[in-house]
Amino acid sequence: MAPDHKTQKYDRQLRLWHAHGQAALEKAHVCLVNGTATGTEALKNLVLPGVGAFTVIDAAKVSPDDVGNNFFVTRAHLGQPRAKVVTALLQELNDDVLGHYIDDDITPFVAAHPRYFDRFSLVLVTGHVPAAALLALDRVCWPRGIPLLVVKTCGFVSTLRVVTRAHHVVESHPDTPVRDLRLADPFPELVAFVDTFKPFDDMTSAELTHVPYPVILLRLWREWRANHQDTPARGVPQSDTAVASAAASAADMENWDEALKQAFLAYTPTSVPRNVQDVLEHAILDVVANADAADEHAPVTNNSVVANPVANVTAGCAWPPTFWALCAGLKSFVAEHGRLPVRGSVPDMKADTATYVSLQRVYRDKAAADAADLHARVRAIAVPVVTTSTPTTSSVSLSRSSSVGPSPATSPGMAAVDAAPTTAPALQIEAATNIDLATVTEFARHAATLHVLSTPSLHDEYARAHPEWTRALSDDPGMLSIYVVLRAREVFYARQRRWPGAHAADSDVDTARLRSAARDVVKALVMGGGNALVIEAAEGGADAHGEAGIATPVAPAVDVDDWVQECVRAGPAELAAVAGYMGGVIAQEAIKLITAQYVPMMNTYVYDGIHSKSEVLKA
Amino acid sequence: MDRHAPSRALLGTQLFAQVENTRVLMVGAGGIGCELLKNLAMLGFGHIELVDLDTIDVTNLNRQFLFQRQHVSQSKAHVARESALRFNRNITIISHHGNIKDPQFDLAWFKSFNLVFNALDNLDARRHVNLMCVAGKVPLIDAGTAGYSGQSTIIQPGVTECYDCHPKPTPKTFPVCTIRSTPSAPIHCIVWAKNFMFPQLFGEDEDEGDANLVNDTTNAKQVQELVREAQALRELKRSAGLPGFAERVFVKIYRHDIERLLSMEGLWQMRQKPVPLDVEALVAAANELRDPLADETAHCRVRTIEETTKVFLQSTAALAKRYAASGPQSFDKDDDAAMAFVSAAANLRCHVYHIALKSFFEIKSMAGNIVPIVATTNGVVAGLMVLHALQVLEGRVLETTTDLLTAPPAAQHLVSRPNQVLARDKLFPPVSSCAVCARAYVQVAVDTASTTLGDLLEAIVDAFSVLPVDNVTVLEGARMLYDPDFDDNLGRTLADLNVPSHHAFLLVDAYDQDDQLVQPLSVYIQKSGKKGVEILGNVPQLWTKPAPPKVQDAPIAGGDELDDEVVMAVDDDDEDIIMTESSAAGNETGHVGRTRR
Ligand SMILES: [Zn+2]
Repeated sequence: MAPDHKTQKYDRQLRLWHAHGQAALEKAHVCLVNGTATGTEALKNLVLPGVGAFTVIDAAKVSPDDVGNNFFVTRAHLGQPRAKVVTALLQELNDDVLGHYIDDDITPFVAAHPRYFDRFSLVLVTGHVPAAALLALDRVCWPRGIPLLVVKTCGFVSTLRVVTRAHHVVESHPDTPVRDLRLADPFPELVAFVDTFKPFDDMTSAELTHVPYPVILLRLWREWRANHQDTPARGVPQSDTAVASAAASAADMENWDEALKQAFLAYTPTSVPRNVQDVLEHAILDVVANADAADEHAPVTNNSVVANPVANVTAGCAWPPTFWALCAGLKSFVAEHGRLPVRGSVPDMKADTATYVSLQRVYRDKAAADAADLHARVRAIAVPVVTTSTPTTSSVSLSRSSSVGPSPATSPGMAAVDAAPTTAPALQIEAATNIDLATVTEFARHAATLHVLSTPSLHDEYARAHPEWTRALSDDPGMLSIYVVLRAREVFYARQRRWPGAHAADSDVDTARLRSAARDVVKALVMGGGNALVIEAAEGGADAHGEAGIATPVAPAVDVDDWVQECVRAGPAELAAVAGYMGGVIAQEAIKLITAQYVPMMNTYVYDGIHSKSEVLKA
Repeated sequence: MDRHAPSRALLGTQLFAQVENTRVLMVGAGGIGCELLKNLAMLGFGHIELVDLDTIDVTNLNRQFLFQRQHVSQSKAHVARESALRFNRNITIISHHGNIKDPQFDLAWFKSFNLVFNALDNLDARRHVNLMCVAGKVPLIDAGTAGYSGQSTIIQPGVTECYDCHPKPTPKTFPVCTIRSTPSAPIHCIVWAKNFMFPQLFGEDEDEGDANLVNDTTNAKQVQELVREAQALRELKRSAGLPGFAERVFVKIYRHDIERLLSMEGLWQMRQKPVPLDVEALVAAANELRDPLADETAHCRVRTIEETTKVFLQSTAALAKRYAASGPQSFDKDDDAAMAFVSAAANLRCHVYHIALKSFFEIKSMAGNIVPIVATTNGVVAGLMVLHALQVLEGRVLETTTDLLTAPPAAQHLVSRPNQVLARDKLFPPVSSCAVCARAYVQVAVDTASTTLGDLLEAIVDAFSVLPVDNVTVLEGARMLYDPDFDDNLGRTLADLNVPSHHAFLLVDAYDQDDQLVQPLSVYIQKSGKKGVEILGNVPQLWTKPAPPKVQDAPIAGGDELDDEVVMAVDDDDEDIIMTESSAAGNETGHVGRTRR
């Protein structure tokens, strides 16, 4: 009689993301680059709720600083490979999760094994990673549609950048529940239902108290429109007045009060929300709709438009890769009916049970009819849906078999990596005709809250100019200055091959150098070319750029200087509390991305732990 | 090796020294507590005490990472301490397995801390810690989570709002008649099954259980029927554990009781009539079935009426057997038999009343009032709590406290919302009408065996010159001890008066010579062996102000209105929805009838 151990153990979180969210989480394989305090905190928050698997890529050895701020190493591990130690301790948290590690540095690893990343649902980078390596990871993850989360931390401040080419959300859980009663443009069955009620004038006062407010509104609004041919929008207040005067004569005011409160529903036409229009206008839909079944085995790898968004759809996997076929069906539905499918749920209201149940039935039947209509369209498209051939599940089982492989002793991890058959993200075609009605119905229910979100690639962010920030940079950079300084650290590293503040003795020199790097970053944000700043210097390896870049068009404001000093003071150390906080934020966003539920934060999140402030920067 | 090198480097020598020497108390070692203890220990807080009365449950393991499967049913406080010490032996952690409201955790003990953390999900305990912190002037960091949302707030007594400055949302209430006679939504049937039927059948015998129904004068006949119904149930309960008990209950509540209700024509003029179950056919059909609960995958779908009947009979028999063997049972959402009973009983009732049936999973959510909790939010919030603690230690709660009213301080109340990572609210000064913040607090040490109420009152009036002896009222909670027209107790010793009873503050209210209202004073009594009355610490200055024109008896008016209703005291985590008299919800002791598993 006892529920199985997973249902029991995960009871509290299942209340939030339900069984299908849990299934998506259990299918996911997360990659953590560097087992830092922040990185292990984030991974802990994914391991506890039962992520399918994780792989830690890290060449560091456990240092005294790690012992001081990282919960997942102890003094006894000093000098041991950090990847191995944190993997073992994280693994202990949950038997259902498979942990792997690769004792190698990300820079050479990503260059040598780009295809190894195909297996991951999400890649998280923490610690002090040269920008060149970040951009290399971006080049690997972006075309594959794998969400990349980049975390930079320095003392009390931290940023999280989410990089995702296309992320779709079906269950976005809006703050205010969706009301979908179609009172302004009622469907015939609803009109027929309203007509079954006697005229209000013929009702006893007891009967009047039991008329549900949608019936009141629909009828009064129709009567009002019959007498006023002019524009409905201007009739709004009169409509409220009409309800109010009718309400005044009703004995028990409750349902009439409800009608008054909800009166706007009567003259607010149901529209297709902006977020849904974005989905329906997405380029991929044209590809889906125009795809030719004969092309089934044609090489589609060149067609990056097709490959990437769809690959990302499978990455989270909460919804089947048929997502875009459903959207294509929805597009056709909207084109013909000019509206979304009826949602079918009726909010609580004052009414007697029998009437309420009949009203519910009217909406439910209409929703069922709409879902059937949509289902027919989805099937009739009969156009193949494009999906990658590397479902996350098989990746997980692959790494299962190789989990004992990565031996830190000889050729660290490499043997296992090379042995794992790396499947290219080749595309295969799957017919949409086998999408069942239940899936379509569930999709239709959420039609009004669909989202497709995307961010620029990391390369784009570094390379292009950011005119949207120019003003803030010279006037009041605010939290943007934290972003600038964290970027400046990367420039510093590219020039010095070490991170600022690493040696207390050099602090004045470091401050000057970091300040100059910050100026260069500000310049690059205005003019573009920030990528060259980190790559070129890394290759040239000279300090020549140091004071040369002073001729910035804008003067970096004082805030930037403050953070330069703070950054040098903090050096490379991490604070456990900031790691704990950011670990929670990172994992929260990761779970939203993996389960495709809730709308995740996009672009760059900046946190200032000194003043307990944060902001999302949109580039 | 200096394990605290990163903390020392980032916090600076001075702040780190404060961290090392500060004494912190954390109340609650659950989801937030585990995260918080880890953060405090990693950062190098030198002295940590933690209190939790709970034991570890298997459903905790998805987030309370200091616990593992082998720790299930052990004390959370003790296991958390051991786990934390394993990674930092350089600090002192003291664990208490007990209720924070226990007498041993008195005001003096609270005052021995520099900082208190509330990592509780339980309204009543949170309010208690808040009161003790405000009384003792100890800064408090209060936090909570639900789903992807959470918050952490600094409560600096006298400077910022306290936890009680804003009334908490009133619990959802249902009229008794809706629950007992005319349900119209699934929640009505679930409340009936859990809060009425379960305790009636398997709980303690309570004769006064019907008392609150009598207040409902709107339908005397209906009330009479309900009383008779309950009596019949008590009769039936005597045969609990005997063969055929479950079937007899089934016939009674789904046929006889419904038929009796149907006989009251007035009830059904505007409502759809319930239809009694075809009990014989259903019992026969149920007997043919195998255990429907064996298939857990069906927990998420709605079971058939026959299957539901089977579950009802099975679980009723199991619970009755337990009742006969080991006495009264209380509902626990994690008790499989209890949950099976409630889900089946509620769904059968829904069926009778033409209400849509719910799946086992949905009913468990509603009956257990289960708040979703995830590891990530706990991590976010516990990180914030420590960063807030650093702000308190540095004195950065407010840059200036004097111009507080004109210049609101930097905001430090943070919220993590589903579609938004972090939001900040401003910290505001205490609300002047707050029952906790508006009072002055003083702690006195007395030998209760020899000190009379008169001695105590004299000492207080001496210490506070503004208090006129002839215009003072003394209460303990709601109990009147003294006022100018009631001086019977002055000669009695405090021990004789049973003062202090549990953490009671003596409430001294007064008007001064000019009939100005004097700031109400709370006197916390610390028992001491020494004769006489000693006022501990500084004597606070009491303000006076013109008395408000008319003092209304607001709480009583509010109470009346709700008297005939059932209150669902919505709590958190490990506490349950309780059906209780509403009058209890408003007074200082919080919820009467609270159950804990
Ligand atoms: Zn207050």
